[in-house]
Amino acid sequence: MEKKIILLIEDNPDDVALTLRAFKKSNILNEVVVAEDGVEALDYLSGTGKYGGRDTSIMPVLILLDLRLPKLSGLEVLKRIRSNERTRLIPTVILTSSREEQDLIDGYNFGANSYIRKPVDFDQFIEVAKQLGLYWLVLNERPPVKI
Amino acid sequence: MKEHTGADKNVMKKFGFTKGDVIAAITSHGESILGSSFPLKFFTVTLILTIVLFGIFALYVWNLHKKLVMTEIRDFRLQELSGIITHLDEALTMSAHMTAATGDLQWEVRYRNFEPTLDAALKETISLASETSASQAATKTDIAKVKIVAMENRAFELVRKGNRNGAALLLSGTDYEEQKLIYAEGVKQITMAVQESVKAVLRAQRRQAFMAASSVAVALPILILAWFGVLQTFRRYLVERKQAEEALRQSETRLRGLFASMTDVILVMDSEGRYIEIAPTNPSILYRPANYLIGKTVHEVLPAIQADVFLDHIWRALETGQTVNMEYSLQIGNREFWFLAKISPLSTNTVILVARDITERKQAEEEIRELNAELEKRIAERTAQLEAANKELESFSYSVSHDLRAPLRGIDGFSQAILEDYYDTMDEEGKGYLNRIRLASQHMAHIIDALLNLSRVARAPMQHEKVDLSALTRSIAEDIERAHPERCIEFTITDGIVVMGDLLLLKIAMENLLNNASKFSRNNPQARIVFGIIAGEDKPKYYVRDNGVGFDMEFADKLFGAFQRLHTRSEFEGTGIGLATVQRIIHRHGGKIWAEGEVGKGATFCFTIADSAFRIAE
Repeated sequence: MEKKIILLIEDNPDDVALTLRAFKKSNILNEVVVAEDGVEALDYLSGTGKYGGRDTSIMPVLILLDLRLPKLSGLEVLKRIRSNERTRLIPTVILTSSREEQDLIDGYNFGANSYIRKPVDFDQFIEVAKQLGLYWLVLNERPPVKI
Repeated sequence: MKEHTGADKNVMKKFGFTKGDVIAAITSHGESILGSSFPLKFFTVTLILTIVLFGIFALYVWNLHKKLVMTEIRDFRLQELSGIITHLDEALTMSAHMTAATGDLQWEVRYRNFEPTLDAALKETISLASETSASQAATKTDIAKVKIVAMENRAFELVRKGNRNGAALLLSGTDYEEQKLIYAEGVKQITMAVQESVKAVLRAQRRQAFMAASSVAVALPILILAWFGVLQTFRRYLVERKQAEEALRQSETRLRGLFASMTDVILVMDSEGRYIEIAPTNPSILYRPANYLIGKTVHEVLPAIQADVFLDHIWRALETGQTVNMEYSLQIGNREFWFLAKISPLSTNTVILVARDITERKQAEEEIRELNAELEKRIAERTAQLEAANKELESFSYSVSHDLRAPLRGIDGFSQAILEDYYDTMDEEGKGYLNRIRLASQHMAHIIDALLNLSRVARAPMQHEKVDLSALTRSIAEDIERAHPERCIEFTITDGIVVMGDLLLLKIAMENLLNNASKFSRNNPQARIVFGIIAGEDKPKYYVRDNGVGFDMEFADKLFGAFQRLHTRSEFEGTGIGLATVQRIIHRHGGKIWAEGEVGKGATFCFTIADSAFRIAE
């Protein structure tokens, strides 16, 4: 069976823990790979660095991207994802605290599929996670990617 | 510069000058001031008239005199001739008779001696008389005389032949006597005619003399009058000249005073840039002494480039006939002086140049320029600082938005996790605390969002478009009704209220106002919220009114301050930033906002908007 991996790019361990808990609570049981910064995320996608030798035929079905990241910013990562032939069609959702207009505009300009602001209320966060999983992992028909 | 020119005019007015006077005073030595010229024409005419008249008289008198003398000589000569003829005639007659009586031929000799003399006298008389009417008588006399002489010659011949009686007979014969008579008569007639003619001539001359005297009598008074006139005119001329000289001297004194009081340099120059004249003004600074400059050209005095500029301006003034302004600097001593020259055409090839020392003004200008540059620099620096501060603020609010929320999410999320995972092992008090932690963190998240909104409202760029406030309000009201299906709020919204402004900002403002109205009227089972318009004196007022808990007017000014609240959190939740945000939006639209209310009787929020050209849509 095909592994439906979710790539979570998030530097805050609290947010990682909460996100994973939210997925669990929402019955999203997919494997979640966590990249703590932009460089690590790109390493994972290209099978280099820390992820050297990874089977790159397996690509995530959904990328959750925080904008504020150390080293390479979220927008920069998005740009790289969209400029790479192998990754450019992967659904990428920006999941961030920021509600700055400029971030929204840039996010969509660089090809984000969605832009979701992380709510503080954990109940709402679980709701968001549930909706995300339902939409992107179940409802949404993915592009026919030949990897 | 204009004030200076005005001052010059005032000075000249005070001294009784016009600009023309000053120029005239500089350019000539006052000839133009003398009103009358010497009465040369009148004098010349009178003189010529006098000379002509006296010439005519002199000629006339001279002629008269000449004629008189001639007449006198002829008359005298005729009388003399008349005497000679009478005497010689008698002598000849007697000689002829004596020859006949005595036979002595000695008498014949005597006769022959006298006969040519008589003939000559007679001839002269005839010639003199020929000018008169006596010529006929003279001819007759001459014929008679020829006959007498012929008879007397025959008598002498008879005597020489010894016929004395015959001779005596001949001489005493009637024929001889008759001829003698004719002769005597002729002579007498000639004499008389001549005397008559002399008389006539004298008469004519007397008449002419009288005429001349009359003419003189008439001409003389005219000439006297004419000369009197000349004299008067001349005297007047002298008086006027004296007055003019006096006036000139006075004006020169005044001019000197005026010039002495002027600090401008006033020059007259020709089209070659030659210094023709320099007015004796009192300039604080002069490039070269006046006597050095006179007669020299600018090219001999100034550096070539500057001299060219001078000449160029002079030509421009001459060509256009207009005053030309020129600013120039001169190195005098160790300092640089600035001058402003006004060059005006004076004649076809001369100009008057009035130069003023504007060094101080130039220095002031320079200082102002430096100050301005300094100011510009400072403004640029401040702007850069402001821009930097603005950037900092932006990155700060970004941090707030992003980083402050993350820990809150952790607090809330993990509290919830504890509540869920350890629900069974915790007592109610512990659960209560954890719930309080969650509520507090969520409230803080609201405050952060509200603060972000407030800062965004302040700096977001504004659009200027037509905004239908009525429609906007209605959609917000619908949102509120959806969010609170348990409540029954009666909305009354006036239709067609349109203003010019930013849709997003106005939406935030109206949301805050309507949410407030909804919140504070929730204890009223018959809640009413009204949005309407009041036509003001200049600008219309818009209002949102509710029949909620209202507020004490004493605290009305606190309503719009950030974090200012008039109710406890347990009464009405809220961040205390909503109305501050509304006020900021209204201010950005050039309007004002204020609140009216009373405890328990609801509140009304009124606001204006600067550009409310569209108060109610047609």
